[in-house]
Amino acid sequence: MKITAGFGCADDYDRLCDAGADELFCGYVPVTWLAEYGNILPLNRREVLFVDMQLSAPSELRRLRQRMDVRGVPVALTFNSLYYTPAQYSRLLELLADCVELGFDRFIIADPVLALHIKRAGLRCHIYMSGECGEINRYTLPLYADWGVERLIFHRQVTLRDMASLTRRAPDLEYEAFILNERCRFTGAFCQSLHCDELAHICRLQCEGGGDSPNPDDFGASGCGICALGELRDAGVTWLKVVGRGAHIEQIERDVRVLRGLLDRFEAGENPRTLVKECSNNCYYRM
Amino acid sequence: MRPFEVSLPSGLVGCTIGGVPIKVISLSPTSIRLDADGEALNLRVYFYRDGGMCPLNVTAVRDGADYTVADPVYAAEVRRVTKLYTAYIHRRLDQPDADSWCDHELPLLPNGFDPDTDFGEVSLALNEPSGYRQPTLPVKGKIVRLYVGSRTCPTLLPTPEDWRRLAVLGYPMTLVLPPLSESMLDGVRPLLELAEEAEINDFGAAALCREYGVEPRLGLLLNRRRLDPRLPLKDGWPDFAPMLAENSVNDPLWREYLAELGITRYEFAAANYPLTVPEGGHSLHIGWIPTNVTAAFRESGVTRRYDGLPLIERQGGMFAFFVGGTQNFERVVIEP
Repeated sequence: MKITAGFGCADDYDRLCDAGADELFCGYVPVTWLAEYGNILPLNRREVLFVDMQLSAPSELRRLRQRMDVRGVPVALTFNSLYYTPAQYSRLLELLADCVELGFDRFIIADPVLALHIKRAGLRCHIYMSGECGEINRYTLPLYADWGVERLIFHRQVTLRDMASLTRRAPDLEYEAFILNERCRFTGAFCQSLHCDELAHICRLQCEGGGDSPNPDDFGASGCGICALGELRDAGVTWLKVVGRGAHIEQIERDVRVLRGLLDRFEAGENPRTLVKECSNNCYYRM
Repeated sequence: MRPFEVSLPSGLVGCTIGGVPIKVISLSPTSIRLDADGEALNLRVYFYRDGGMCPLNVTAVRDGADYTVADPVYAAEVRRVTKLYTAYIHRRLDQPDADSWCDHELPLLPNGFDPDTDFGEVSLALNEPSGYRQPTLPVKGKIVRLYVGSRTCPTLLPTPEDWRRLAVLGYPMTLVLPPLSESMLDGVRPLLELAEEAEINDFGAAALCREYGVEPRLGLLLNRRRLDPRLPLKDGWPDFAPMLAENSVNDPLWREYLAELGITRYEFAAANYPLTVPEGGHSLHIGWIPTNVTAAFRESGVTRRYDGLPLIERQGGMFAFFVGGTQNFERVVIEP
């Protein structure tokens, strides 16, 4: 099983490679897109502008590509907004073509319409379909073939049993599942609310009956699936996702490093349910 | 960095040279440091304003590792955006009063419309067991169809007995399905045997409907768009509202693909901005519309309210109240 982790700055690439990541992903939002669409119709799901968490210029991509050629850890770019407008699809194809030209051909997307446009344009790239695409069942799998998808990322609330049922039916796909951080109680594919700088996330609004929040800095406090490593492996999941774009690099680095250590112990035969001393009680797969 | 130089996020300041994006490493009111080379550069510098980026053309002259910019408008913009950023990093968005929506005049319409006056013939949504078993008809308009089911919670779907009992009332009925996970499929098959059309909220359900000869309609959760009652509080409102009018169902390639799946009619959620509706016999849903949905089983009976906002949490989702113009729609569906 391999680790894929999010990051927000090209300078952090080497640190995360050293920590043990097998793949990284980040956003790319050039100022020319922001000038036209702002974050009203954002390029990816990280809509905030007041936090630096995107690459923003071809020069950054070139620098990152140079490091990738040395370290060999690939980077996927996220273009995972839930939808775009008709005018945006043609702009997006130009942007994706520029990214391929610069050596980035792995894209995490959530909009099947974008996948269709990529296929029609004949752009040679690898498409990873985000869990933000929507709910998945056996009838969805043939559509993924239509859309040219190579990897399916399960959303946060797909059960282990459902994962196993699906992976058996389409063994040629790669499968990725969440393992650490940002376990949101809502499903991202159906979250149509704002995640901008000016307003709190709607899922964190105070309401009657709200409970205490865990300390987000503790390992796994905001979401953890370590104890399910065995079932994830048996279900056919080969990629484990560490959410982290926008978090401090020290935290993501720690999360990847600790996860790498735990994964090594698991693959050496340890019981995953005993890997973590204290459960965060914020489990992806058992709550 | 020089004195008074700051590094700002790329969402607040950016730059292009000849249309090519260039990273701004740092800047001060009289200088800029770029990831670029040249003795003198004609720059288009973009500064955050009202949710977007506004351009300013300046000339930058090489001065060591930096470029000097002698432009009072540039200086003023650097100061403005730096001040904005400083204010931002001192805010605490995790505190309940960080959103000052109570100080703003958001339109609150939870009790607000008269279907007789505005909408004429309507369809009525029944989305929980009490509604299936003892349907009350609160709207004054003429009801011509029932939408029966839940797009947020699989535990709230009608039983086949509920469906048959409602069918006796004589209204045409549309089955409303939630996004169907792998383990939910068998549970809905008995309902698909009874229905003639269904609002689907996952892409795979189109093929499932075909197995039963049920016409699928693109559900609200697949007809995705920005839905948040707090949109009027976002920087740049209302100027950016026209940008939201279209979504992917306005794309010809997508409509062609949906037609291949058997989907030619779409369910639209009302929003707090005008919609551009493609041709075809589509429906508009008004009332309590889901803005967020969880696929996990929830305590469906629990309702949580958010003071000061037309927003409630129930039935495995978060719902906001929207009423929109009904032109260009074949059906209007009242969501209680």
